[in-house]
Amino acid sequence: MSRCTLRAAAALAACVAAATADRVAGAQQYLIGGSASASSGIEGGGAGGGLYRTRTRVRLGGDVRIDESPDDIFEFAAIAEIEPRSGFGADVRYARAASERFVLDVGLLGIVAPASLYGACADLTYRLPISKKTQVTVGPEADFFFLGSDLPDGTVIWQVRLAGGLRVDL
Amino acid sequence: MWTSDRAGDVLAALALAAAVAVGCGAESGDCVRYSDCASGLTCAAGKCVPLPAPALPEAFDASAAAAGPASGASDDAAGGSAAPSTEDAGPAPSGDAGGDDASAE
Repeated sequence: MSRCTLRAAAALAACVAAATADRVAGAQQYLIGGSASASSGIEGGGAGGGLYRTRTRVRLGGDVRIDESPDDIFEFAAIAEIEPRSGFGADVRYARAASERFVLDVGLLGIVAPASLYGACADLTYRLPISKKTQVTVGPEADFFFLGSDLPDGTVIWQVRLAGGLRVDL
Repeated sequence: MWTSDRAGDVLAALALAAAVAVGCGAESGDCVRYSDCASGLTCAAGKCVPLPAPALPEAFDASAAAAGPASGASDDAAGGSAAPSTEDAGPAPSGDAGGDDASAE
């Protein structure tokens, strides 16, 4: 009798555990956002040793996070340099929400046309809410380019940019 | 204590610094990337400079031009204007084409 009760209790516990696990998994949601921003700043690292204005860049991207871990964010974007010369590329980043309004991120970016340039980036973004789902974003960004056919030999180009734009929770 | 107001001040200062830096833009002819330079130029030591011209074809052109009038001297009486123009037309495109190709790259 007691053995039968023990088996029943174990089966019930297993059922409860399985049901609970399913409910947790079912509650997991992807939270998606979209963003658009423009940036410019200064750059250096060339053999001339001077500081120059960077090309103005437009970035259109998205971000994905899981509601169970909303502070960990995966970001991706298409980027376009629009003046004084044009170029096109993309970036992928891992972002971490440092607080409700500040987000830190690091990642890799590349310009692929008309010549290639690859490097790493890091930035800090301040999100100022202007509605329930929309935020104005502004913050500094640092880029380092160390590979690519557009890079003179022995050169590492660095850029410090100020970016501003909009982000929307989709 | 870090506040949103202070954050706004810091970002405003960053924006001002960036604006000042952007105002001091690069002079034309400065570069950090090859693609900063116009077609026919390359980035060397932070400056856009002309691509080095191929020296060997130029030398051949000069020798051909020097030899041209001597060989065509006997034809001057009959068709003086036709022979030199043929000689001139031959080498010139090769030299120019080489320069354009180098420019395009």
